[in-house]
Amino acid sequence: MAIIQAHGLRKHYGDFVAVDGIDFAVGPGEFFGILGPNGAGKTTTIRMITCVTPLTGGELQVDDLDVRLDDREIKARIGVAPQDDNLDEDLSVRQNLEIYARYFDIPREIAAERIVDGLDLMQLSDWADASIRALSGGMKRRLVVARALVNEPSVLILDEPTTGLDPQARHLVWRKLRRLRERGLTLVLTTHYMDEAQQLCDRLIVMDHGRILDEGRPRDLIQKHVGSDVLELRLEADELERVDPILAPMLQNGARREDVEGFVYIYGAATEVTPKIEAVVGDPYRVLQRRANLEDVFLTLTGRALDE
Amino acid sequence: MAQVTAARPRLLQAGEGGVVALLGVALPSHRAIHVWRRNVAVFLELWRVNLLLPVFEPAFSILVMGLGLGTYVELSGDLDYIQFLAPGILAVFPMFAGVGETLWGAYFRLERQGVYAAILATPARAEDVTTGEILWAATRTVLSAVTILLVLAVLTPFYDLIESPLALLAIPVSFLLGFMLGNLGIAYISIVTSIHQLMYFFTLVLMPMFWFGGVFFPLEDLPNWAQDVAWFIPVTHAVDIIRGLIGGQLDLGHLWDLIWLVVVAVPTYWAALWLMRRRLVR
Repeated sequence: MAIIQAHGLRKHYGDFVAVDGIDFAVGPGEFFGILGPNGAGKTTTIRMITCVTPLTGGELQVDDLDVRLDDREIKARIGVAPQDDNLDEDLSVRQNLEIYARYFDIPREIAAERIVDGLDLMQLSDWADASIRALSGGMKRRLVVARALVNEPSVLILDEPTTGLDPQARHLVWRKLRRLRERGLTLVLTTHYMDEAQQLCDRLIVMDHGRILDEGRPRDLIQKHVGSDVLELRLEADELERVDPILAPMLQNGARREDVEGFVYIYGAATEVTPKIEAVVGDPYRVLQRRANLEDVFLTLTGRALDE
Repeated sequence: MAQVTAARPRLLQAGEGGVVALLGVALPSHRAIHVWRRNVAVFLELWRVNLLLPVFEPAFSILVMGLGLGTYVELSGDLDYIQFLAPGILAVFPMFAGVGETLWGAYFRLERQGVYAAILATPARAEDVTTGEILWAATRTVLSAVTILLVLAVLTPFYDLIESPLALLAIPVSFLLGFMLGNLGIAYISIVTSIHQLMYFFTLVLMPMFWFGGVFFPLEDLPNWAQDVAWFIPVTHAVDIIRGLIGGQLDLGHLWDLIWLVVVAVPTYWAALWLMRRRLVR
């Protein structure tokens, strides 16, 4: 039984097709990722799940309710942490949560308890009476998550939760999200940070141009599209000539080569040839052998070209 | 449940997103009050700034114009100019407080601060946001009217401004006027594409009301065509009623003024709901 279920989900803005008939399902307790470059249709998909954007076509159920007809009930059961921090800058941290809780008709005393818990969970207790303007980017993001939890949702939806944060702040947000996952919450997140998806998501879909390119567990997708290892070489023309014969057997065995502006990438590389290449190149910093990751999958599926 | 809804005509049923087909909007809920309370909370944070300003401006206007300009003005009848002017000021000045909320205030909440977007992620719908904002505009109008009424009361021993306790009924009239202008303001910000366009509402809607609503001179002195135009200005009717209430002289004409205000409030409210839904839900 799925908590979120989409069939032929579609959204058009005039002639522009933002979401082009996609199917996916999110199971209870799952940490589900939606990956894709900017403009892929991630946020539009999220907006349809959260009942703020009407569907052009297809079916979408959240907790067995229809987003078309049961918008209020669905919104009461989900938590939303949007991409841009839309905290109320005219109010304090605590007031932000109090006023937000009202829209859910949560009784005052219960809201007060949840606000204490939420601020504690997100390490913001000392800032309860601070103005929003006094918060750092990471604090604001954690407050947005605390706000999304005030109605005790069964699904938490996060649109690019760590965009624009420094590494420390990102890792703190990640730890908090894992805590929520351990508590049994279903989480859906969009991101274009591949390490984020790899760190957090049980399963994910990769979107581009409104379509789903593939879906699966991060490690399965990596294995399927890239293999275990990647070789990154930065070579001069004469070195390239000498390296080519070393690479040839790998390529015959199914590895894939990509040349991008002086760089050579070998996906699914055989690790034992690395020393031979290093011998030719001389400078070890221009020969990098590493584990394949989601970023490789992403670039393989969506291409390297920036299409804007 | 299903049987009950099936029995209702299709046009009256709440469909996708609660939208009633016949109206093209959903019906607002009690959550509009939550939206209103959000604005109250912000207002209370800044109440000193918000409350003092509307005292000085109308007080200056009444005294400077009433006493200064008034010495050059001869009215038919036995009214002093300051007595003619005071109820007009009570009718029009509160508009600025209300319209300030729905133009700049609401525009910032909509476009810059993301307040509406945050609210829409909760069980509140676009109609709740719109209604809460309009009620708040009406509330600000009333708060300003109460302040001015107090100013008039203080000046009454010197200039005989308030002749009747009916003056208190100016408050609900202000609410109605604020509600209607709130409708127009919200409808306007839902279609503008840039903050620079907000001033047009001020110049093209508010200023004509201010000058031609019968506040500063009796409309009977104008040519007939200008009187006809003035009749379509909502403020004209509010000024009429409030002048009657302050002077303690009501007649049947004032009832028509009241009906006019109510009749105009309904379609403008609908327009605000419809346009703001179109702006928010897409």
